[in-house]
Amino acid sequence: MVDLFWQNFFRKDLQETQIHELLKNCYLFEGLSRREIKFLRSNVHIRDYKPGEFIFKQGDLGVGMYIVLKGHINIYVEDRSSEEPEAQVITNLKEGDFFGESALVDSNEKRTASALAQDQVRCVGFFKPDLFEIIERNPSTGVKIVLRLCEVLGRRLKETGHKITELRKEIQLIAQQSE
Amino acid sequence: MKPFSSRQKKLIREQNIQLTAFVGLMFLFFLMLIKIESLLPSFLLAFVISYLFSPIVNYLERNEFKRQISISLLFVITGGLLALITSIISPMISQQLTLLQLDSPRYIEGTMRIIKGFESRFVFLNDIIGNYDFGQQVEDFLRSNMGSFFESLPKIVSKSLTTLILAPFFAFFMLRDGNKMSRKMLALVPNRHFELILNLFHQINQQLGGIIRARLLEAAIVGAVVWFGLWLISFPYAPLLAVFAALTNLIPYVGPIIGAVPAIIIALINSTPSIDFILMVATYGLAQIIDIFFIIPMVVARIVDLHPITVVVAIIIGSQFMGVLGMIIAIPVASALKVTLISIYDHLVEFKS
Repeated sequence: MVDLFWQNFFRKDLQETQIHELLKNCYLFEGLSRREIKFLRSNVHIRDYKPGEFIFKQGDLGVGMYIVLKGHINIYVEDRSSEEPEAQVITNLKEGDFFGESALVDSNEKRTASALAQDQVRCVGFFKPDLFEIIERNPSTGVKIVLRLCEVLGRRLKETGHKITELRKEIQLIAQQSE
Repeated sequence: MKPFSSRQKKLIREQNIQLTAFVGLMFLFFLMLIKIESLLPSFLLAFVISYLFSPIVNYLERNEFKRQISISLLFVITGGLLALITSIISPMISQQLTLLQLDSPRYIEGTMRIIKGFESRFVFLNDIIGNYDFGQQVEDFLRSNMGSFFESLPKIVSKSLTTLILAPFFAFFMLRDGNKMSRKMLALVPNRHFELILNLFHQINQQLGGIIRARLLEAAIVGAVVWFGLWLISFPYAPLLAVFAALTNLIPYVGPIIGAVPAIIIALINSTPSIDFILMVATYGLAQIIDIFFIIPMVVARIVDLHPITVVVAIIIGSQFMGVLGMIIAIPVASALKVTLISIYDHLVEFKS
């Protein structure tokens, strides 16, 4: 009984250290001081998912982002325009990765992909109300996070633009070959 | 790809049970609030205090004050100010109440005279409503209620003392640990509904905060205008009438009319000179003009987006359930319900389509 108590006590402590480390090493929160990370910790949510459980589904209301604390997640999109929608896995995420950050700036937007837990998953959730709370109570921390968020979204936009250009070139090449 | 479909069904079943448990817990909490005497008013007042104080606490926190210190500082300063104001105005209020108690037989008689005057002017109504002695009914009601009001005044004060002590106590912890408490509560929400409910909580919180601050600002401005106006024309019971007008102004539409009735009766009974009577009516009118043309469009309307019919129906339902308190809290509750229903509808229809 005593062992169990100490075990749980230290496990909880260990988990807190893990969350702090995760937040500190997350690209979005890089540059925040220890105090700011502690403040951020008090404004995030810890969520647990079973294997096969959806973190969110394509088309759901999205209000924030998740950082993987433990486990593996598949992100996939379904082409709903066809009669038999087929899902295509875009990426696999593991500890330290983050996803869904565009929902932090979208106004009541739908999720563009689904996130599915592959095994026992624990995530740190950071949502729009939490960001507003940080901006309201500690604007300098809020600005740092928002700037990083803009950086990430800008980079994703650039990558998408680059991919579109490549695809266009490929289409043109195919069209030329077929002629 | 249709992964884990049978497991999915099991998970959904589990989450539905979790959601039912969460809703059940919330329902039990509200039931407890309603059933336990003095807990509901204490909680409501605590909510009002915390919504009023939270922008100031956040402002202090932004200026490098620790949250706990900011809250304590605010409570100490407000407590001190309230004690000072009470010590100054309580002799004035008690003097006015004693005066009103002494004057009450004269006012009852005067009210009767006004009613009798109306009755004699509208004799033809007797044919329609029969020989119903309205004047006698009003007199009986006034005599019994005026007497019992003054007799039970100390009891009312001591009863509201529990609320006045409990409310700041609750408010202190709501301000300090509210964020943590709501996070703990949200941890019970099943994953499938988490983002929806989190968003809903945020929207309701924003809307309630806005409504409460706007309505109290409105009441304070109306009260101040009435007080100043009546004080200028040396109208009797000016502070009491101003407090009454401010409180009744919290009830939309009918509140301002109810608020002006006592002053009109006092003026009629005291045979106030017509110029003073006009100035008194103008004071109430000015307060309402400021309210309708400046405060409501600039502050309240931006926050409370309810149709007038919805407002009236909400007030009637509120009054049926909880009397005057129900009429006052009808609008915030209706707004919260509206946000909830719209969010659930959007989630079920728009997002699932």
